[in-house]
Amino acid sequence: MPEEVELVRRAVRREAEAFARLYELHLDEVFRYVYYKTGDTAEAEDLTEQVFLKAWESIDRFQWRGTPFRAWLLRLAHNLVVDRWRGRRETLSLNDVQSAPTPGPEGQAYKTLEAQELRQVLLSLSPEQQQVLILRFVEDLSYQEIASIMGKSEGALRVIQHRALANLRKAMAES
Amino acid sequence: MKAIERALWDCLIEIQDKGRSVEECLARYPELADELAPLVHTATMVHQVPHPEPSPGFRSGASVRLLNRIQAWETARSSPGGAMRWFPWLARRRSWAVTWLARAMIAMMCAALFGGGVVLAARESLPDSPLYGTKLVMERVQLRLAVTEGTRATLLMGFADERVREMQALAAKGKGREAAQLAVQYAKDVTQVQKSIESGPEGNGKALELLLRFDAQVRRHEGALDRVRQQVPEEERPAINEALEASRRGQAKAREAIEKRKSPPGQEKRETPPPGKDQPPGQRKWSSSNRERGHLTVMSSVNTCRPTASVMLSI
Repeated sequence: MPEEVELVRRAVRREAEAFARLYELHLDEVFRYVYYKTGDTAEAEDLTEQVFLKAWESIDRFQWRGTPFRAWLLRLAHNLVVDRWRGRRETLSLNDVQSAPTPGPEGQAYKTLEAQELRQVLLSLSPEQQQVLILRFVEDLSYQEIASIMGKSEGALRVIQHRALANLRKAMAES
Repeated sequence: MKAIERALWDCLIEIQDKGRSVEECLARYPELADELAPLVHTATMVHQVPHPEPSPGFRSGASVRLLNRIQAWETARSSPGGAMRWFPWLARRRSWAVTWLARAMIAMMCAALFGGGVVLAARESLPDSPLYGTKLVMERVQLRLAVTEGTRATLLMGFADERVREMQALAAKGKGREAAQLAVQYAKDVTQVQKSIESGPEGNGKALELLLRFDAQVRRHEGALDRVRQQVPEEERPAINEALEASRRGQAKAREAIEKRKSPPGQEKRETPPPGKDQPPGQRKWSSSNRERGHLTVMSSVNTCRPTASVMLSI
């Protein structure tokens, strides 16, 4: 963490090499987040680069206010994904995507999941519910970080998380 | 707030952040265990999914590629559009003259910079040097100054040469990972060369000349990259293989295009030097249009920016 603080400080001073190091540190996190939102590796890679380019453009506005750098990056990632959806009327929201159900035996709620299958079942949740699950269980963020990214109170997150897991379980059992 | 929401929240913190087992957690809430268990199991399962990762090709050159994009962004920010903010009168007279003026100014700045010791040193730097960023910036500036696809292709060929030289130097120093990172940029430059040559004016004798040089260049690269591949650790070889593949693709495309241009002795023959007036390939002019002549004037100052390698041989 102290290394990251120093890197961010240097990046704010427009030192591209420090920023490139931050890119290496957070590349996987941003990619994972974008992948679960888009479902396409090539698009996720392209968007991941754009997230960091956007971060470079606006890094002088970044301030340490108890929010880690990765939380700031993931918020940028979320905004970029939403912008891309808006640009594509036919796939305005993940919820509009009609996906083939994952074949499998009845009551397979506890089977081993693959990333693609997980994404398929996540589609049945609201964007907010998807975001909480991805940030918490894919990205391993603390609830405090999630609250700062989503602009929600912890109380609101508890409710969203409970509903998200209940809906996800139901969707998995149905698929 | 419902008790189940609070219990689920606490349970997941215990499991995910404090390393407790699911059973330990459920035992703390016997009255809610039936409702809690499936939700906790679902959360645990999502947490255990092997999550996707970027492809090795994307990852290997990621930071170099980002630096290039950042530099392109910075250049764009400070190029004519940016200048218009400071010189609004230029915006009112937006014309070809303004574009040329901006280009000439950048070329002069570039020439001035290259006269400086720092940039001279940067020209020979490797990715493990703090001056390497300057080198990449200057390359991108030169690329932005290129007006024709022919010049662009020539510059990119020089950059590809440079990436191979850097990969060789890094591999010799035992820095296989850094060498592999450059492979992606190399593959990208080689692909762009092909595109630039292909989108250049049809029937231009210069295109054939460029293709012949490109063919010889990528053949040379293949041998060099093969040696680099043997020097780097096993895990870095896929990236070098991608560069090798790009080099082979380049050769195949170049040969195909050469054959196509050689076969019908039609249009392009008119533009190649007439028999008996043989000039060394590096000294021929390749277009006589006004635009090209204007371009050559500017590029001659750029030439002072980068007097190395074979970049400007054809001008």
